Amino acid sequence: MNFAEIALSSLISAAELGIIAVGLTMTFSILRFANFAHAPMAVVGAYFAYIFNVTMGLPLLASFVFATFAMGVFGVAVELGIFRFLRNTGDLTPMIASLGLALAIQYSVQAIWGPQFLRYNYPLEPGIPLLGAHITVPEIGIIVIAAGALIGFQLLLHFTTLGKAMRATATNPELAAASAIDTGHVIRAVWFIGTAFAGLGGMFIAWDTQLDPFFGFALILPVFCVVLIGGVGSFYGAVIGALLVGIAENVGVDFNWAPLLGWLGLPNGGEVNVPAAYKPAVAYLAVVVLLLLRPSGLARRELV
Amino acid sequence: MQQLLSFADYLALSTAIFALLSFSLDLQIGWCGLANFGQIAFLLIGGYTTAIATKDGLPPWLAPPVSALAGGLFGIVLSLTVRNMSATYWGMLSLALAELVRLFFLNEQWVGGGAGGSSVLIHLPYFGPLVGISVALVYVLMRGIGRSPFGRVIRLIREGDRLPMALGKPVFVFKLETMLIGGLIGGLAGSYYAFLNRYISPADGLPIETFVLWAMVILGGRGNPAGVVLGTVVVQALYVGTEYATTLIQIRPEVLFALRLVLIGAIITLVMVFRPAGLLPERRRVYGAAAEGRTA
Repeated sequence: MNFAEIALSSLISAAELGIIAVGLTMTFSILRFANFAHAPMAVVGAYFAYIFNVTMGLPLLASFVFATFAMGVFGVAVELGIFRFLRNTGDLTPMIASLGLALAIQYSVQAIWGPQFLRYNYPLEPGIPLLGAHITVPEIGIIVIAAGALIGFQLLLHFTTLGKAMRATATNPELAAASAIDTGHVIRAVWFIGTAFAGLGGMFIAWDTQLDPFFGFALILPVFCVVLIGGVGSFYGAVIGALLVGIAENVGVDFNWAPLLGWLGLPNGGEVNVPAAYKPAVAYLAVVVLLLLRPSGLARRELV
Repeated sequence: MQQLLSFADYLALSTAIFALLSFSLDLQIGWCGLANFGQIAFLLIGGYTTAIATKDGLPPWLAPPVSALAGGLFGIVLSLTVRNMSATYWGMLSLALAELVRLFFLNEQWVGGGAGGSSVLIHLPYFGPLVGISVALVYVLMRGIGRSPFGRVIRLIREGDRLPMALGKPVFVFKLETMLIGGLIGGLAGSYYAFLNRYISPADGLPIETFVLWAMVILGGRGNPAGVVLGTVVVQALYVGTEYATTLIQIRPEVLFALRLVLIGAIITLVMVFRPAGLLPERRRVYGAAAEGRTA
């Protein structure tokens, strides 16, 4: 693995994690509970796109657009059907309810499509050489769409009335409601955008690798880790956190730690790698360390 | 060598083991407000302790207590991480720690066989009665804790750290004791689990197992030992009962497996929306002058 390949895969991981994490950090700060079901929504999004692309035969990019919109609607349905009734019940009750929802959607997907890996309909091509690495069409697409979505979201937050209302509700919900902001409307918008982003992240992952029902649960902790690094409610924090976790996951496992061990005076056999099966442990360990040392994250103040 | 257990025996024993784990979880979340999303780690630690120790020559009757101690130790470690973290954050931390434990057992072949797991070839005499008596004793213990000053303090801690601290209670010590007891029970359950299945593997410690335990406690009633028993029995019955759905409807096994878990998830969510206290809510206790001569 050369440096360029590692940098590229870190960027892709960052884009996938980042788009999901931006949605979670927003819902976490406005809805004020940890949504266990957010990461599993990525799976639902990926399979919605599968329905449009493979089952219905639509072109891939159009499928992504329709699926993203469908995910937004799905998010609003979840809010109207479940979380609307749990508004002032603290942070534990909605979190437990979201756990149940996560199980239900994850295993519904598995029940409908089965545990086997699926793929979207697009031609498999070798990558285009670029700066020492090979970049494939999905990878270009992921980076472009992720960047576009995040920029679009920032524009929404800072240049629209809805965005202002969202920032106000995140900062002080009671004052926002007292200022005649329709917090119900804001909350529905948050669910729409957050769930749509989560679904989009899932589509990226499925496009880059494959579709399987299991990647949702595996994402819960890494996405939470990204949110924690940046601080709950911080958009830029989530982006930076995603880059850090993306790099850590890809570098940590591919990196040859032998020279460092040698410098520390520890025995090494010339090549020391962290076993690939420990890759998820990077994010888990980061969660533990972060929560013990600095739960407020790296952001010094909220930058919604 | 033990005869093949009949299905009813196996069902009763595994339900009993889940009940032990659910009691342990209820003590933590139902009474102390510690949202342990890594509960199944106690089972893994207890089970692996039993598997490894009996392989190394430990007499089988010593395995349950030693495994309980191992679980208790892990409980202490967990309690050290709580500090003044909110339930949400510590829930995530406990999930992360439990996953790290599972990944450790999965990757370190030299500890317990890695992904292949570890078999338990030794037989524990009087296994059935031992498990039954354990469950009964832990139930009595839970009821006792509920009535005790210790129980009162941890229920106060559940509502927030500040008031018990203002009253001079060493909140940290109470949380440690809660997780110690929870860990002892959980480690014991892990040992029984290893003896029952004659096997322990990292797959026994996947997060989904913790979530099933949460379903049992949530459905049955947080903070109510009888409710916990009820919840365990109902969820187990649903789990096992739906096995036989194949005789009624034409359904493939892997679809059935997934649908069962959809049901578990739906139960958790529906309970939180419609009856958050569970089927058997926590008993209201009345103290002080108002309670002269009566209990709730």
